[in-house]
Amino acid sequence: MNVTDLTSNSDLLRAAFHSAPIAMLLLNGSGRVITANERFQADFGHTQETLAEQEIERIVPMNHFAFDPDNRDRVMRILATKLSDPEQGASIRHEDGSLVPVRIEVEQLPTPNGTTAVCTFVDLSDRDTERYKAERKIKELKARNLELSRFAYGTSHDLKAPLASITGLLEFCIEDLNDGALDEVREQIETSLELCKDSASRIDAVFEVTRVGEMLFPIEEVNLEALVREIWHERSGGQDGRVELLLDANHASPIQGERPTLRVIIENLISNAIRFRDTDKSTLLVKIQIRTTPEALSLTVADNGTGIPADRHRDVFKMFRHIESRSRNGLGLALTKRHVERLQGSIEFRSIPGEGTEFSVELPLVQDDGR
Amino acid sequence: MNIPVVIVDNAEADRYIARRRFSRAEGFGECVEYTSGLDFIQDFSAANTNSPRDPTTPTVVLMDISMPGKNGFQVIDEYVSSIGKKPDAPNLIFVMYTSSDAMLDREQAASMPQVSGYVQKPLRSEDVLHIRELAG
Repeated sequence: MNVTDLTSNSDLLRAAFHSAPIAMLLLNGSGRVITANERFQADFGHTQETLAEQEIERIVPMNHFAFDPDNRDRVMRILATKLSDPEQGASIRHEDGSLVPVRIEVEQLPTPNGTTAVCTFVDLSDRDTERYKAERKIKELKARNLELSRFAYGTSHDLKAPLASITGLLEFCIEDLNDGALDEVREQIETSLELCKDSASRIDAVFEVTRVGEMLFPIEEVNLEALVREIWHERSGGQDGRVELLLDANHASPIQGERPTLRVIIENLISNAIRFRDTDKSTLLVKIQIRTTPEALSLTVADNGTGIPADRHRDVFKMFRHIESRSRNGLGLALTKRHVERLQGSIEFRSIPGEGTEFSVELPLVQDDGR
Repeated sequence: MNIPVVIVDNAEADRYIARRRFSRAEGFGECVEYTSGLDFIQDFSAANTNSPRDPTTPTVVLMDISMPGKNGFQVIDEYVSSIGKKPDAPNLIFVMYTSSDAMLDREQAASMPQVSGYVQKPLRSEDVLHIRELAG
């Protein structure tokens, strides 16, 4: 039944159509607007005058198929299929030009003059934002949960392991005391003490990583080039074979920053570059590049060391992941990354096994006026 | 018959503890140590090794779980898929050696047919007796 042809109930139906609490359009068989109800006009800004006789594709963008202006029937059929598909993600062009995400439903009514399509439109904007926010929050919480359980497993394992060793050694001590083997007792106790010391400093390192969020250091003047050279001097001493630093510092100096934090970041990167050297190469070469713009500091530390195997790349910044035997407590880069992120910066790396690794850190700079 | 022992563990103290327990127990022969799964696999995949391995004599392999690089389970998987299937492969009795009492680790060990035992650190004399029984 063509709604506009009704006589007996036409006033009632017209009133019902216009006062319906959902945006509605009636389209004729060629996909042109017959009429829009009050709610549609209110929601999307168009008026009856601007809509009358308009082709539907002028307000409902349909990117997925080409128009054939001579084949309106086909347009209508495609319209009905496309718009009724909840996966498609439709939108309507508001009178002000913006696109509003909507859910569209289309019902085709056969009438003596052809088909009339009754279309309803539900504005999804608020709902989308809320759902998007909720989904993002869930993802964030899942990631945090995973990190927490990894942390719990890693902590309990890495801290329990030395205790098991110390227990074994002390059990030997008791047996040896019974046998009067005092030299063994002494050696075993000394080893136990070393393990205790290692364990304690490992616990400190773990706490340091977890407490990064609470840290706040004063902003002071930092001469980056001098800091890098100082740390290099501390870390590169006592290496077998040649170690060389290429420092390319082309930056405004000094900068304003948290000296202790910058020190931890640079220390970790340099110590990794030195520790994971490739013994097949005669010289360990570390290239450090420092650049500043008024807003940001960029620091790159590249080495020609052994590189990181591709299947371990995802573990690089995780806690307790000992990538290989030269890894110490598996916490250095996790700590570095937390500091970088606390300062609203970013850290990435590229690595090719056998060739070397390059870490890049970007940190926003504190402006001179303290911002 | 004296069963040779292989210890794969990156922690020196734990290798020492195992070595001492085995050397003072009956029924065990030479103790060979590796600090990483990589070294163990390299040595055992060599076609000719310094000590000829008789496939019928079992060798106990005490395998640490948590090691940098590949963990103990991964090492065993790799050994089995590359060498273990060959007809002249040595008869290795794998025993997991770990401070972990975690359910997941025990379950994983139980699910691997190549793993014959699971011992919690520190190794004690009773554990060594138990391992001697496993080796037959």
